[in-house]
Amino acid sequence: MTGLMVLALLAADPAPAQAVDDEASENGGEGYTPPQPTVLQALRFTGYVDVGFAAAQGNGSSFAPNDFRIPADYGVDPFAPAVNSRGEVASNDSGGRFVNGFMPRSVGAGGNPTFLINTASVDARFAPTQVPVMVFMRMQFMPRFSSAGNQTRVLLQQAFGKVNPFSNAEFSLSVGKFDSVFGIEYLDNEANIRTGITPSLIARYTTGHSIGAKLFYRIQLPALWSAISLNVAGTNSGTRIEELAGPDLSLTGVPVGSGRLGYELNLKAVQAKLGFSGLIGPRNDTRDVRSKQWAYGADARITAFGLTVSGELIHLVDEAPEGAQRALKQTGLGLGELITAFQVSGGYVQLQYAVPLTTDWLTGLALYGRYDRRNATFRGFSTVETERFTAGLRIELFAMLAIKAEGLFNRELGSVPTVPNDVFTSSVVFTW
Amino acid sequence: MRPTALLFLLAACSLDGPPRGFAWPTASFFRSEPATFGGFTTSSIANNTTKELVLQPAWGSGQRLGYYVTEIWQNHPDLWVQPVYLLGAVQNETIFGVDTESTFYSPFWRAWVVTAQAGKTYDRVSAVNELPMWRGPMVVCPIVPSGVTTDRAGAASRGVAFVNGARVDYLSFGTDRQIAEPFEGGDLDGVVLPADFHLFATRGADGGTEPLRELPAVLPDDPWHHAYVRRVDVLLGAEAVFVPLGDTVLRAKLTALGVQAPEPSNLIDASLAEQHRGHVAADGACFADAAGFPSTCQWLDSEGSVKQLADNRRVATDVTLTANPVTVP
Repeated sequence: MTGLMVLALLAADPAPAQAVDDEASENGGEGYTPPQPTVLQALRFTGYVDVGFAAAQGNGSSFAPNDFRIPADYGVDPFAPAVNSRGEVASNDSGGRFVNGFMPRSVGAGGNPTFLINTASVDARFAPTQVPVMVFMRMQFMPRFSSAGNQTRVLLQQAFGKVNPFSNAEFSLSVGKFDSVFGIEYLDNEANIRTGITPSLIARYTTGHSIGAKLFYRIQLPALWSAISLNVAGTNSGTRIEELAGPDLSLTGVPVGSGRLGYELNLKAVQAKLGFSGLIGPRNDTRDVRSKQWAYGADARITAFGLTVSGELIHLVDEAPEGAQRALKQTGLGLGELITAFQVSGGYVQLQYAVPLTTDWLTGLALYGRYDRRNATFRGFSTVETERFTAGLRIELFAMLAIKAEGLFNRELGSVPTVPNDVFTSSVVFTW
Repeated sequence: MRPTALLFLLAACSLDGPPRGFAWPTASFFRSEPATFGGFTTSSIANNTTKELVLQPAWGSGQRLGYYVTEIWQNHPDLWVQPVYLLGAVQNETIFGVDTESTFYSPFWRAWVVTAQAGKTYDRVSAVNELPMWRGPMVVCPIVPSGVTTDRAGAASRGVAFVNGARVDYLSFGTDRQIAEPFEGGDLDGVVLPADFHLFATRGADGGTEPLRELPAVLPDDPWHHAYVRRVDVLLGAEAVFVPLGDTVLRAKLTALGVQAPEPSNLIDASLAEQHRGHVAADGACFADAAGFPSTCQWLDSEGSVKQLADNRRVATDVTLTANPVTVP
């Protein structure tokens, strides 16, 4: 289908190929002719392999003993003991208690240290120079084993086509399955790009991949060394990760709108990015179109003299029928039971320092720390207040091998049962 | 696609969605405006002036009983058992796991008896979950608006408890009043499953059933362990409803609806007649036999007797409720 679309676009606008032919003809076919970009040159494969080793405290989950409230995932943060860049946790074993779809994926390690192939990722990009069209696919393999046996997954994480209709403007239109447009953390989704290992406590709301259409426009302001960008999308599920809201189908028939307005300052010694994001549309974890989700957030990333400070804030609301009314729930991990009104406020601030120490083989060294805070409430349940301190180190060798180690210190506050769920995790990422 | 075309496409999308479910906790019955929830009018099950739940007439296993309705659900999944933490002798405190505002509120609680420490404050689950505790019985305790009680003294005990750090009132209808299903075959509780709760009914103008709320319900055969019930409407045919001789209003209403309500013998003792008000018999001829009444009647006053009727006369509804049984003098 994608190939047909490319062919159709080529047929609709034959001018570039025609121009090259004309140029060769004018040269008589005997003089010097620049080599024609071939299909192979337009097609590029890249990827990475992320091998991890992680150990979590306790039983690897956030579920506290003797907390028999139902659903079990409403009174704690099941996402806290993350072990890799996918946000998968050491365990999501609720101890035999019912959960209602507010769950991460688990590597199933529990409290045992284990090696993991976190992700084996393959990117395929087809970008012929003759046409303003690019096609991209990212396929990922996650070997997993659980009490149910082999749980290996193959995920088509991204698959989209992008058209840049104007050669003199940064304007593109993408359709397919693509990155979120909310905030800035989605830029670091992949393990080979992310400085650290684990995502923030709010990443579950902002870094998902969904299916729809996206428009990006950036205008440069050279006199001010600045740029202003706009990124808007209409998708099936919004910006949440697939575990919370399945992206593959619009359950309501109405798309979710999301967008970010950004400002960039690009000085020689200082770079800054600021942005405001928003999201509104129906929840995509129910077929009840009257239940909306909406969110707003702000983000900033400032880099100067090897130091980078980045942070993000979000306030998100999931509506549910008021009063006596109830609606059924359906998440990316299957059926839940009923949707519940939910709201969360949270954010993080991360400081990283690129140590100015490089050699032929040591191509990067960074230290980083992050503070996360999240307050979330399902209506009728006590507020889940958590914070997390993360500290880590990243060493990059030969510009293709990243070695990372990280400690996560999760703290339950307020009415949240205390549970041992700190994590040590490490990752070796080979990029090719 | 042009923007206008996109707008038309979006406008064509259904904005109604699938039918919703409903949950009405006790507090819903005490709103100022009368309402009907699952076929029950609030004015008939709760007295908003006196803040009392109103005793409802019923029969169960051939015995005259009563019941209090404390919650009603419609088109709703079965209820989960929630925890309630009882802090024993030291604190004499109770902590409910969830509030009535929760989508997962349920009046069916598993008691966890906690060994608390003297001198400490326990007002939420996170304060007790690390303490020693043992699994206690199931209790049926609806959280109710402050001051609400039953219209018959002693039918339920009143209490005050914590939920999420705040104080709430509750009623207790006793222990072991509901059987819980194990969750996925494990040791922990799952949902409660409804037993059949029969209301006699007529066919409505829309082809549906119209429950006759004036007539006593028929509770499950073991009502003391099945407070959670599903409303099943029983369409009356040739059966007859016993109406005391002097109650011409009820007789006229039933007769107008096509329900058999023959005049009983005037020799039947008035107090006996009152006890059988609304009692449904397979054949009303026995109402004329004062000497043999009531034993000569074949009553439809047990789950077994009602279930002998043809299946198409028993219409299961999507309404479930907590029908807390009580004995009556």
